[in-house]
Amino acid sequence: MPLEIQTIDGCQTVCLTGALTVWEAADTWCALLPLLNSAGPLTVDLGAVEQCDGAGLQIVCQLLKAADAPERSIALSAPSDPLRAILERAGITASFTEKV
Amino acid sequence: MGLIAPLSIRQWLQPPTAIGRGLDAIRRWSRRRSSAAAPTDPPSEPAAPAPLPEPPIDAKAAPAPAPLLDNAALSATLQGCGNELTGLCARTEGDFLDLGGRLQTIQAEAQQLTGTITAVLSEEQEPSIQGALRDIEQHAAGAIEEIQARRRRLADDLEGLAAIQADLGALEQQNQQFKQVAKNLKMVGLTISIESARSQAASAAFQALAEEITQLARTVHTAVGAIGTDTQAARHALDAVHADIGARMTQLEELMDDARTAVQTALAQVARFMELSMAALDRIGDQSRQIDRQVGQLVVAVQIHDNISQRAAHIQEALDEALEIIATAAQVPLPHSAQQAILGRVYGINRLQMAQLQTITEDLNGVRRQSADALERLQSAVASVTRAEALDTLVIDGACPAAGTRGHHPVTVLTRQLERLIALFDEGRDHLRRLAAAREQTGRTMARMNEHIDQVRDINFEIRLKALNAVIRSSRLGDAGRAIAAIVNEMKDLAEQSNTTIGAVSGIMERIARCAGGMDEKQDDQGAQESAGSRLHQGIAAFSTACTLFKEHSGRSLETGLLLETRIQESRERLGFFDALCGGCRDQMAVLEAVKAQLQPFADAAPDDWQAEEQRIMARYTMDRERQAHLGAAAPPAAAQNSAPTEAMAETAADDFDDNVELF
Repeated sequence: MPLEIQTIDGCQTVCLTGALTVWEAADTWCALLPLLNSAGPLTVDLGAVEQCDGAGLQIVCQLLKAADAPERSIALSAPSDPLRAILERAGITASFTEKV
Repeated sequence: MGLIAPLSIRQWLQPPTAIGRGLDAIRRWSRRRSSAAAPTDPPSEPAAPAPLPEPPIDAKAAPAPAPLLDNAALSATLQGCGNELTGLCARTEGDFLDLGGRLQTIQAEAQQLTGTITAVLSEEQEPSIQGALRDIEQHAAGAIEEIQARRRRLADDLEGLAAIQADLGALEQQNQQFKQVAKNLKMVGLTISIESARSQAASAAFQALAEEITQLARTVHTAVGAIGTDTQAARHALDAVHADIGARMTQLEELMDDARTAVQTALAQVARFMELSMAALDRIGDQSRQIDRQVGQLVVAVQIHDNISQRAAHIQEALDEALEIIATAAQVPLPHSAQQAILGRVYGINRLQMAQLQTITEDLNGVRRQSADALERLQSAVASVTRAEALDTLVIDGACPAAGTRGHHPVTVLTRQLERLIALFDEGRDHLRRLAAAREQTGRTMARMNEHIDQVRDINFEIRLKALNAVIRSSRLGDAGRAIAAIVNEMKDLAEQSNTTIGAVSGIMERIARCAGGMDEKQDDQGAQESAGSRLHQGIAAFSTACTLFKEHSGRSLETGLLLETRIQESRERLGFFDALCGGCRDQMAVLEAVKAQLQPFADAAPDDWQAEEQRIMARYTMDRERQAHLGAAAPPAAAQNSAPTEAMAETAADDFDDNVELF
């Protein structure tokens, strides 16, 4: 999955596009992890995710977990429809909505 | 071979001379007349004309009595008759020679024809049609058996193929398991990566492992993808082969049954046809031998010319003797009764020559009839040889049977059916080759899949090692390492699961290899079985060669026969001279008949004289036929006089010719 990173006024925005499945999850996670550990504000755009499975969901959960951390300013954008369907099936739509 | 006896007509006229004999006759007549007054004379004697008054013995004293007949005219008639008869014979000599020459040519060509026919009939020529046909029959039976064997093997192979297909299906299922293992492995890598991100220590200990696991999962996934692709490709290939051959199998089975029945029927028809043809050829052989006999008889028959020429010469000489008697009588003045006696002797000679001429005419007619019949039979025999269906209809080029009506010829039908059989044979071979190709492709696929499976097996081993190390490392992390330890356990389970799948896949692949190996062994027998097809091909080629050979021989027979027929027809047309000859003989017969009528009263008046004259002539015959004619004239059996000579008679006559004349 390609990751597009934009920095505007010191605020980083990461856009996940394409599939977020077990086959891309590891690489995606490896790319996201340094950004999640960085200090500045971060926005993760999930509007272009076309496909997601359990592994992708695990990454989304990690994003939610990171967003929950008080010392970090991480925001998640509105999920795409395929991602929303997965979140609903997993029962975590509410948690996600709170972070958006 | 007989030559005319040296004691021939010429001896007739030697001692006593004609004049001397004439005087002897007169003296005998005188003695009879003087004793006629005695009472012992038979009462039947008065049937003769009333005796004239006894003339004085001294002729000089009395004037010569007027002749009873116009002797000059009589002499001229008899002389003309003799000359005409010998002339007729001389004039037809050329015709006889021409006919003889033609018959010699016919005989030579007939021998050539019979020689060719014998060659056609011979089974010794290589290849003979009968021999080639027997070979074909044998090879066709072998080919049918082989086709059936191939059909069975094809069916077995198709079953094997179906088993392989099923195994490939199972392999695809198992491959899904592999895919799942790869996926789970990836998940494990991800999870380790996530979990190890919780602390610096965990990250240092497990981030590399996570990446390795991810990489291994990727490798497994690639191998599994390759296995899937190969399996699918093999399945598609086998599906195509199976669908094609399987669909054709039912049809092929029907076609084989049809072909077997058709070939057997065609073979039976050809065998029947050959039987008929051989019987016809045997008849042709008989006819050709008959040709020889007919020609032989003809050659003997035309020898009659020499025979009748000699007999005509004898007639002429006898008539010359009669002329001499008449001339002698004219030189000496004789009493009326003596003149009657002389004319009676002339009557006797004339009567005998009529009998001789009659036999000549009959013989000529007989030979004419015999020759015409023999030539007709000969022509018919030659026609039956050259136009025989057996010669014509066997002229089939086995390799390229002609279209049209020949398309129904048993040999053509057989050839067609054999070609059909060979086509089925070839089709069966093609199917087996396709199966072999599919089997080889499957074998190659299995080899590639084995490589992939080995790769997965190695990965499993590596995962287990890594899992072992990871468990040790996770135990060092304390509580933080427990989650990772659980994931690592999952790794081990995945490796076990993968190993189980590998076992299942290996089992399937072994089955496939066994099945393909079984097909391989059957393919090894192919070489031996191919020979049946090649033998059938060779048999058809030999049959074709035999047909061509037969065509050449029968073509030559046809040409010779047609030429011979033309010659025979020409010879038949040339037999007309026999009619002219017989006509001439009949004319002269009429002349002699008239002479006989003129002389009849004098013969009746002196029967002893002419009868004694006939007996005297009888003693001088050198030919049996002349002797028989004489005896016939003396006591003519009614049936023998008019009946045509039979063939047996002709044959004896042929033998008689040998006894009397120089052979033609």
